[in-house]
Amino acid sequence: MTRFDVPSQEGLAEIEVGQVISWNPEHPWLYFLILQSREGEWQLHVGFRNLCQREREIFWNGKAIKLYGICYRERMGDIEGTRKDLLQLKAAGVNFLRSIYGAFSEELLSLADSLGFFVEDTAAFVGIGTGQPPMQDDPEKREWFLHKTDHLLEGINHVSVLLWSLGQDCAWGSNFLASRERIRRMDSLRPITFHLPMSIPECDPLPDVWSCTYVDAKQDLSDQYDQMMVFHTPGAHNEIGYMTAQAHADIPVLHEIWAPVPTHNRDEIRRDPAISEYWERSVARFADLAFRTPGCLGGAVLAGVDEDGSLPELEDYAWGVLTQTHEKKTEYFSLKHAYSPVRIMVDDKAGLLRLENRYLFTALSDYTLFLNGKEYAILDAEPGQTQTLAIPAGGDLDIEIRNPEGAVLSYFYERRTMPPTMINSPKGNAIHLTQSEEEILVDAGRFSWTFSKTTCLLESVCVDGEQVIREGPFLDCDGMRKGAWNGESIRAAEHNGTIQVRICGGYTKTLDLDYLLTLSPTGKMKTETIIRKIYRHMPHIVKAGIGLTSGGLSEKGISFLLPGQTRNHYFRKWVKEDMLPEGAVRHEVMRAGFVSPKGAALEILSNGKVSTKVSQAPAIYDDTAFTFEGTWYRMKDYCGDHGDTETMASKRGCGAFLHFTGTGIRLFGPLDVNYGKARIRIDGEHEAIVEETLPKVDREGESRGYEKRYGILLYAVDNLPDTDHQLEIEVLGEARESAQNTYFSIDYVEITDPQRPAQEELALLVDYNYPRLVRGCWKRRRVIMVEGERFDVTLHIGRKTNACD
Amino acid sequence: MPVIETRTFEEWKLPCVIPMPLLTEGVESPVILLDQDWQVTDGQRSLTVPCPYDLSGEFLAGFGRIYEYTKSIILPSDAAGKRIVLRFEGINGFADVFINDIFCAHHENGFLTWNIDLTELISGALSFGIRIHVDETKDLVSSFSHGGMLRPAKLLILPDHYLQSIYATALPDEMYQQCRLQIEGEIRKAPADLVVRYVLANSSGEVILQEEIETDNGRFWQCLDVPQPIFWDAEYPRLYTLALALIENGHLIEEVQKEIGLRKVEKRGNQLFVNGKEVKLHGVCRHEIMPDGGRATTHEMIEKDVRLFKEANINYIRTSHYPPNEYFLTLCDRYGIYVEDELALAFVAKSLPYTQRDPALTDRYISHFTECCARDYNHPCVIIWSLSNESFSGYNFDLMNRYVHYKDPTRVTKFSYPMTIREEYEMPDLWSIHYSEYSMDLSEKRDNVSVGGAPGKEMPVIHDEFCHVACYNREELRRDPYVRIFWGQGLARMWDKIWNTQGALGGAIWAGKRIPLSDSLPNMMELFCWRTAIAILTFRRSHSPVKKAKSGYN
Repeated sequence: MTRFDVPSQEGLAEIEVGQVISWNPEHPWLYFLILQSREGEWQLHVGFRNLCQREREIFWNGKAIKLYGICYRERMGDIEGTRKDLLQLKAAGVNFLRSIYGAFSEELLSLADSLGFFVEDTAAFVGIGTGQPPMQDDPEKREWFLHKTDHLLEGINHVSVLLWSLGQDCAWGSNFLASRERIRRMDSLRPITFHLPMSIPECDPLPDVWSCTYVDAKQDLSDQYDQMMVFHTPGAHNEIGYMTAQAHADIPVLHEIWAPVPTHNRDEIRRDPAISEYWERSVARFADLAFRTPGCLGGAVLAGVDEDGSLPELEDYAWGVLTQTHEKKTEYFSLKHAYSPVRIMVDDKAGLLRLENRYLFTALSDYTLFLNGKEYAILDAEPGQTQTLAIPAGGDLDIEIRNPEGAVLSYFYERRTMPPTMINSPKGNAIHLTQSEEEILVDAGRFSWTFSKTTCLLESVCVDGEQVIREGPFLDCDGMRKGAWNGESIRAAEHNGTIQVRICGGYTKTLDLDYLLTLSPTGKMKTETIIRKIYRHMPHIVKAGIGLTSGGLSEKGISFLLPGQTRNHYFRKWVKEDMLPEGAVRHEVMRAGFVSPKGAALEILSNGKVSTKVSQAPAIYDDTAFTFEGTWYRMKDYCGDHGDTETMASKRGCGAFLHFTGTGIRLFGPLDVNYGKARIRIDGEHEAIVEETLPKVDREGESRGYEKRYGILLYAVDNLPDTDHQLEIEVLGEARESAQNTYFSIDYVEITDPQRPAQEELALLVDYNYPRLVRGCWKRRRVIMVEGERFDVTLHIGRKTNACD
Repeated sequence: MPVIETRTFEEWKLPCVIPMPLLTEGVESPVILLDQDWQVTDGQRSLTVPCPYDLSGEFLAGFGRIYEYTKSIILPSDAAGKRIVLRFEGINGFADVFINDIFCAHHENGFLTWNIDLTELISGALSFGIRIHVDETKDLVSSFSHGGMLRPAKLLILPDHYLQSIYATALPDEMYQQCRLQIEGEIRKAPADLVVRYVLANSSGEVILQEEIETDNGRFWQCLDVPQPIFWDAEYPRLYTLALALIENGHLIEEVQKEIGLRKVEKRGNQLFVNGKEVKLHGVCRHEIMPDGGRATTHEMIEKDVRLFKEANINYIRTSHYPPNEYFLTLCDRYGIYVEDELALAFVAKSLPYTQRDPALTDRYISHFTECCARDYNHPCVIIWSLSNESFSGYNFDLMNRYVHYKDPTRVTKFSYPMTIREEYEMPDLWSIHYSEYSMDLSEKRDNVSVGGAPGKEMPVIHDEFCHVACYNREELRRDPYVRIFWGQGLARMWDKIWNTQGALGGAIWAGKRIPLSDSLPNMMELFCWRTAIAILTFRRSHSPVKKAKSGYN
């Protein structure tokens, strides 16, 4: 206990405390301080630390720090939810919280103190002088600025607060200068940052930390730029796609937003939910680069938790690694892998395992490495150091690093051997070719392939008389809308003990190609695609809100229709866990296959080169199948409508009706800024008000100015009696405020009809990409097709082995 | 109720823009100018058109007003028994026309010529009243369609059967040694014995062809072999005169005259050819606007513009951002200046609503072209149809581009912003980019809204806004007016680079004319200064057809 005098009501007193244990986020050691005076008693937790900045590094207790962070919007009043979030983020390796849309509460800062996070506390200045009114130089607003700044400074006693931020997306002005001076008077130690720093004129002081957002994976992480939205921006003709005016200040760079969770590119997310897994490549890349880049403090993923509408401007942005209900999303596991405090790197050639200790204050002594489930080594790397271990040659690698409490901090899984085939290949079969006017039949005993000379396509592949492929091949060139298939010719001939079938044809106004199928008596079926002539250009590289798309295709490969019957299918992949839903692309599979209940099997011979996707192809009724009342327009929009048409009306009372038989219905239509609302019913029941106005989250993901989205599920009803029904659509002639018209548009419906079960489509991709995964995230190189190009995939059919049981 | 389907291309027709008669049988003056003494809404004053309504005395700020013009007409006695056609050469705003308070026509597109045959409405009376109700508030697709009667109004006194349209198309052979001239047109209710006599005279006035053509159900069509054709281009703007006369029972009942030029525009790869020779376009963007008259211009000022531009070595003018007065095209034909004729569809989905995907407005979009084409088709100077300025593509623009290709294959199309065109759509013929950097490859397909790019170099790239005249950097302009001369160095460099880059078709500086500061023109500052001696001299030097090389002159 120490007694001291305070010279005045706002005086300063210094107390000498010997032998303190300092606070850091890995060892959040707090002291409990009780202040007593005649007026009362105050209690608070305090932490001790030494903080200084030298040139382009910030030192905490003498150690240069790196921040592996997340942007976190606190929901006031939900302290238990916040605690749950923070515990999970801590377990994912996050050591830095950045507040967005205002300063953190006292409760959150206390949690950050006790759980161990560095904090960037951000004043509630958002978009001033950019999207919001330019108050930054308004003298009448000075007090408002200072009031917000004082609110920010209420967190001054929290040891976790590393950095003060003067808001987000604001243009600099004299009021920000006043706020900065207020902070500096109250806190001479902590660094201050400002986002967008390029707007600070040379006559005003620079921030202590250079703030960047949406760094691109191609950039040097120590570059000092900011991201400005300028209309005529010839300077933005760079590969990053946004203005990158350069500065060269001797201060560290903090990436306030890096690797934002895929949010705005909803069509891509809908097309392939595997994007959430693919996103790991972005965040891992940034974490790796930050660790190795002097002058880069680190960064923060956007964002912690999906929005729940409590902040109206963010609507339902699903930008979190956690759900609205604080559950882990796929991205959470990606984040945990990327922010792992021990980076595991395998050097197969050298037979070495390199372990990078990315802790700032923790040595790995007493941490244990498990290899393939067995304890393999006790680690000892110091913070920032790399430890090297030998690994056995060959075999799969399943590595885990556990802390002394047994928690898994880092993991690595690599399948280095091919899983066994699930197909029994018969030997010694002969293969025969017979042809009629209508068909080509290839018979290999237990297997048969039937081709139609009308469609010039496969119309059946059977194993022991059981169908395993229903139709194909079809070109999969998602991203480039292809026209209708026109088969020109089909020819078959024997070739070295196989049958080769060459299909010549094309997709109207899109391209001409050949499919060359080589069918072997062992059940192997190689399909080679040869692009002969392309009539369209590949999708452009375009600006998409923030950043450039990669352009090109999303998928490149072929697909087959499979019979619509219940199947077991499984994938053997590089990664250990597969949390992805049906319909997601399984990237670079080792081997994948399908087995029917009767044992007919279809296997994809991939060896890590082919990605696969299985999707449903149910019965569809186009908009032309409806009857209409009132003034409806049919628009032949070639850009995404099913059958190229949609039918739309804008006036209240216009009606559309569809009679159908089945047990369920799903209505699909476009979203656009011109679209509004309709009332929908089935047989007078199941009423819903459906809206087609493009929501804000889509607008921010748009490219080419203003984009329309196609084929969006608007309304669904299941479990109807298996009889006749009527779908009724009543246009309301109204729309939300942001809409510019009140159209309601019908594209198509899918019917669940027990008499017409849905088919499955198996896509076999030789390349894929996520062109709209922008805002700095890592994308693959542009996927294109060129004339003369060939690519192939091989399927194997037969009967299952025990390996797939 | 049946669903309203988009019309087929065959269903969209060019409207009849009735040619101005030189002669009508039995009529002393077949054209009566109606520019004087229009009463406007408040009834307290009269004004002379052309004149922007908002510059006519009220000086109210802002657009989007509703107002009316009225006028009493007394026809000359020789108009009795003739057909009376009211011709407007440009009313900006949705116009409803009433004759003796009876509604007779509705028209929406500004800047363009349209006509109403009043004969039945006035029932032979030689005096009647005209009332024009103008509504500027309803236009969703046209940025500049405000101001009312910006161009002249006329009455045409015509015979019972009169020429409703004339289209002349030059069809040269591949070697440009021979040329066929296709003439087609329409005559109101032509009887079977009515013939059309044409006379084609060369630029010296020498008659080289004349013949009579029979009509078929009101239409006539003839393909002439032009002897020793002399082609029109911007350097040698040689025009022919085509006179058409309607002969009924041996009587001349009407005569009209058109200046035409023989020329062919072709796109081959990423180059553009006029009469088989590659062209590079060195130009300016021209708003049709005057300090004292707004967008209502006079023939004198138009001619001064064209003369000054020609003197400055300009061979190309983009009519930003709406069709010009037709007299401007007549002068460009005569002086020799290539014209990019821009439809009045600017800033769609940018500052205007998102109508590019509204099927209820498809006909309106197409009408911008059909009306403009009907008026301007015969002008050889028009080599490019600009479908829009700085707009976002969509269904209506795609339809329009395809329709223009279908309807007028003698010219090329351009759309700004091309990066917003979906891959599924048909591309225009030219790639438009605004404000390229000097350091860029000027044949690359980019634009300045979508920062990305399109692969390939198969299209000519037109920099139809570039080298912006120094005006926004007012601090610099104030500190050192020399920046206006310095600007010329940039222009010269850009032009040299365009000249030396295959695929870079040319460019138009922003801008050709100064937009005056006016209370009645909100949001438009006194920005675009061009008509200064410095700028003219700079441009003339930059775009000189004879370039000084290091080793001397070539």
